[in-house]
Parts: sequence; C-alpha cells; structure tokens
Amino acid sequence: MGDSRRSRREFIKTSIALVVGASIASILPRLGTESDTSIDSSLYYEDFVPDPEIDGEEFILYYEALGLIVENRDGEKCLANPLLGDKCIRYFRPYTPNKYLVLPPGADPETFYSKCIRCGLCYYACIRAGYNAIRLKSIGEDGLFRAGTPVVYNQLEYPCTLCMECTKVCPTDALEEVEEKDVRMGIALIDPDLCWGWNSDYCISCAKACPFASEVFEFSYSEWGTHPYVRPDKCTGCGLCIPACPVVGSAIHVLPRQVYSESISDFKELGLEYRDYLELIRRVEDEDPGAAVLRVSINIHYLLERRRAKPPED
Amino acid sequence: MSSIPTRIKQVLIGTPRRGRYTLARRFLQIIVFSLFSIQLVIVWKIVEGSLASSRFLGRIPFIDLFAFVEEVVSSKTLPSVESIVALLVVASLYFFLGRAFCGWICPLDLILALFERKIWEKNTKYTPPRRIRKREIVVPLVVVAIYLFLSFIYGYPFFTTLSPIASTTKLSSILIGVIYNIPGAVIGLVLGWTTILLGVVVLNTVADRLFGVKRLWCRYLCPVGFIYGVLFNKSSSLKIYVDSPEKCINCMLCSNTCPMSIDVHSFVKEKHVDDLRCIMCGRCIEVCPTRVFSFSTRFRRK
Repeated sequence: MGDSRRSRREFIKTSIALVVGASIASILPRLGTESDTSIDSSLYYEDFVPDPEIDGEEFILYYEALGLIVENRDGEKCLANPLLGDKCIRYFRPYTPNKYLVLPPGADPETFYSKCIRCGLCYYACIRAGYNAIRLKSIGEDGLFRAGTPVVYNQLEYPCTLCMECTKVCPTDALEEVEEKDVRMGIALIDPDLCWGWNSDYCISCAKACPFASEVFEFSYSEWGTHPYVRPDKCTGCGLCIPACPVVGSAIHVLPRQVYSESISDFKELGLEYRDYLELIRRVEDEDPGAAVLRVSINIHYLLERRRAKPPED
Repeated sequence: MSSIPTRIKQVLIGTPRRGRYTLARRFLQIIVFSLFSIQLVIVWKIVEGSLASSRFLGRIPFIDLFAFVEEVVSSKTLPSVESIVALLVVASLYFFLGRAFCGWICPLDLILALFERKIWEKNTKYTPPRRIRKREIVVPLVVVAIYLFLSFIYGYPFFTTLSPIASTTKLSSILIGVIYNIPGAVIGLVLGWTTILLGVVVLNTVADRLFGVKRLWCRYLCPVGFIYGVLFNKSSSLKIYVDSPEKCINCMLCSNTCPMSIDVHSFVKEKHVDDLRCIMCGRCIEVCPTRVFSFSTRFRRK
C-alpha cells in the first residue's frame, strides 16, 4: 500500500517534471526572437496579370499586338511597364491591417522596447480618446519579449490622429512628449502607378487630409496631373492620408522608417530607386508622350476595373 | 475536497471564522480588479492602466517599483520625471503600509488562494512555519538578480513583460474588450496572458499540494512583493502588534494559517511581527481565539 502510494507520487512528480520541462523547452527557442521585417515581394506587390473575364479578350490582344505582354518570374503572362520595357508593371497590394506595424507617436525604435514597461496605458488612453489606433502585440507575434507593447496597426480604419494622449500618459517616456510636427512614426510612400495624381488627374486628397500638408506634400502641376511628392524628413507617419485616398486599397502606404529605406532603394523591385522612378516618369512624359499615355491608360484600366476606384471629383 | 462554491465562500470570508480582514481584503481586491477590468467600457476615468503602471482618477500616477528598476536597468538611461513622481507616490504609500500590496491589492493572492490547501483539509503536511531563514532571502535575491541581469543583457524589462500580476489585470480588461468588440482587443492577447497566469497558478498549486510549500510564487519567485517587503516592512507604520501576550494559549493557529508560512507564534514574546514576508493580511489576528494580535500603527501606540 505504501509502495503503491509512493510510486504514484513518483509518477506524478515525474510527469509534472516532464510537462514543465517540455513547456520550458518549447518556450526557450522563442525567447528574444524578432520577426523579419524585410520585404517579401509577393506580399506587398502584385503584377498586372490580365484576366480575359475581367479585362476582355480584346484588351489582351491589343497589348499583345503592341508587344507589351511579357512573362513574370512565375511564368504568368503580365502586362509590361511601358517605361521599363521587359519588366512587369507592378502595384502595391491593397492596404490590409497588420501589414505595416508602426510604433505610436513619440517612440524612438532604438530605445522604445527597453523603455516600455508594457503597462498598456497608451492603449487604454487611445480607446478612451475614441481613436482606437493602438493595439497591444500578442505573445509570439514579434518575439516573446515584445508582448504587450503598443503598435499602430490599421491606419486605413483607425489612423493615428496625433492627439498625443498616449504620450501624455506614458510613465517612462517610452513615448516621449513631442510636438505633433516632430512625430516620426513612419513615412508615407506613394505608388505612382496607383495614384490618380500621377495618372493625368487632379487629385490632392492626401494633402487635404494631411495635418501638415504644406510642409509634407509637394505637387508638380502639369497637363499630366498633380504629381504628389512626400518629403520624408517632414512626414509624421500618422496615416491620415490613407483613408483619404480615393483609390480603394490606398495608393499611399505608411511604412516604418527602416522598412521605408529598404523599400525605396529598390522600389517595387524594379531595379530603380524611388526618386529615379519618379524622375523617369517625368522625363518620359516630357520626351515620349506615347509611352506615357500607354502607362496611364494601363494604370487607369487597372484602377477602374481591378481596384474599382472612384475617379476623384474636381 | 470541498465543492467549488464552498471553496469560493471559504476563500472569500476566510475560515476559521471571524474573517473580518479577509472579507475586507477580498472586497478590496475584487473592487480593484474589476475597476481595472471594466476600464475599456466605462466613461469615468477611475483607474486606468494595469498593475505595472496605472493612473488613479486620471491624475495620480502609480508605477510598480520593480518595473521602474527594470526599466532603468534595461534602457540604461535616467528615469523620466513622471515615473519618479509615480514612484514617490507608491513609495510614500507603502512606506506607511508595508507589504500591504500583496495582501490587499494583488489579484494573484485572490487567485492562488482559490487553489490552495486549507489547514482543515486532511493529510495536510506542510513544511512547518518558521522564522525567516537565509534561504528565503537569498533565493529571491538571486531571482531578482537573474531578472535584472536578463533585462540588462536583452534590453527588455524581462519580468515586467511577462509579469502575471500586470497580465492578470490586462487579461481581464482585454477579455471584456473582446466581449464588447473593441478594436485592438484580440483573443490572442487574452490567451497569451492566460498562459502566463495559468503557469504560475499550476506551479504554485503543485508546490503547495505535492510538496507542501506554501506560496512558492509569493515567497521565492515574485520580485515585486519581495522588494516591497525588504524596503518597507521594517519602516511601515502599519504592523501586527502583540496586544496581550499573556492571553496566548499556544494553539499555533496563527502560525499554521499564515499564508506566507511565518511562525507568528514565535513573535508573541516580542512587540510586533517583524518579518519581511508579512503581507499584512491579518489572518493571524482573525483566527486567534483569544485576540492576542491586532493591527495597529506606530502613531496609535504612544
């Protein structure tokens, strides 16, 4: 009797040790691992692959006759970018929540995670203010140690309005109290192939929504449209331009600063820098109107048929 | 084993009877816990944040002392002004109240008590209550050092990130957020923090039921209460004083019921219970059949 009780106790102890050991062993490899923030192209960009059902047979035949149907990396037939010849024309994928996670205002990404004590005050303050811009990171989403840190996750529905409530309640200055214009959450990046302004139209919706429009946005007006430029050193990254954009799924995305610098160095993996691509568009508009018209017509077809975007009203 | 509702009743009112302080304690714990829980769905700013750092009435900041230390260690910079103000508020509060946070505010005290063995249960074989030994100072100190070291090398406040104390209040408020469909309140957070809480409860209950170690979490692993105990229990005004030592009938109820395994009976010949583990729960006062002890402040006794 005593033996059986002892063996049962031994059994319980061993099984508990096993369970504890297994759970520790399963948790340990996740300690301190952070998710990879580098760009996976298929997640962020999509090629224009014409679909006979949506775009029509004539559409494909027309561009085939022009020699503008090429094959992309996966062997699909896609429309070529008239400015770059053999490369597919690429667009940002529609904005979805949690794609680009930016830190709340006043956070310095270098020191933020060591200063934040995961109390959640900023989250509660944001909910209380009614903007709902912040959520807390789950365990395992970005490494075990970043659990409970705040993040601005859905700028299409809940952009940060720069009310600065979260910086006022933060006890440890992980979110520093800064002026609204000194906030550096991220940088807005415009896809010129999706933007109405870059496609022969008059649209300044993003600048109208921007709280510091005159400082952040620059426009070059011409018969080819209102070309918007974002000054990266002035952009706060609040994301108020995203819901204002008439292109469904947003031609403008707000990227975390580090991702931004990676992204513009090889913009949409076209082998060009962002600035150079914009310059190329401007140059082609001046020198080769035929190619520019082709580009605009492809883009507008894509916007109207695929993205179902509304053309901006003057 | 008694059924669950009976157990809840026992924990709430405290048995053996005369659970005046237990009743008050559970009441305060539940009030604080529910105020933290409903903060997402009420209009008034009563309590915001979590037990890592909170704001009372939208004005008065509080910060967990260990979270403050870990933040300084992990960020390797000077603390912010607001956190120092919050720290002073907390320090001045517990300078008078000692380690009362553990017994009167901390939701883990409430939750762990639900699963603990009670003294009247059969086959209770506890490690006997003792005066504080070296191991109960050295082990928590080493644990605190490990937490701080990990925070230092990783650059994250290690314990505060995974702290079940702050997690429990965040867990309940996010759960209510999930129920009311508040953006940003996701079930993943609830599950994560439940895992942490469950881990602690299981660890504590296993130590309690299989090895007879009372409150493994509170006595050895939790740095928050330990730091409050070390810093404030000597200086605190609120203490458990020995009123009438001549009345003691050596029944040892006080020592045996003490949740922190303090040998309260050995303090009868002294002026007051002087132990850094004491969480001011008042169990020894209310179980004593002859009322030897009482809560008192330094000011009231001349």
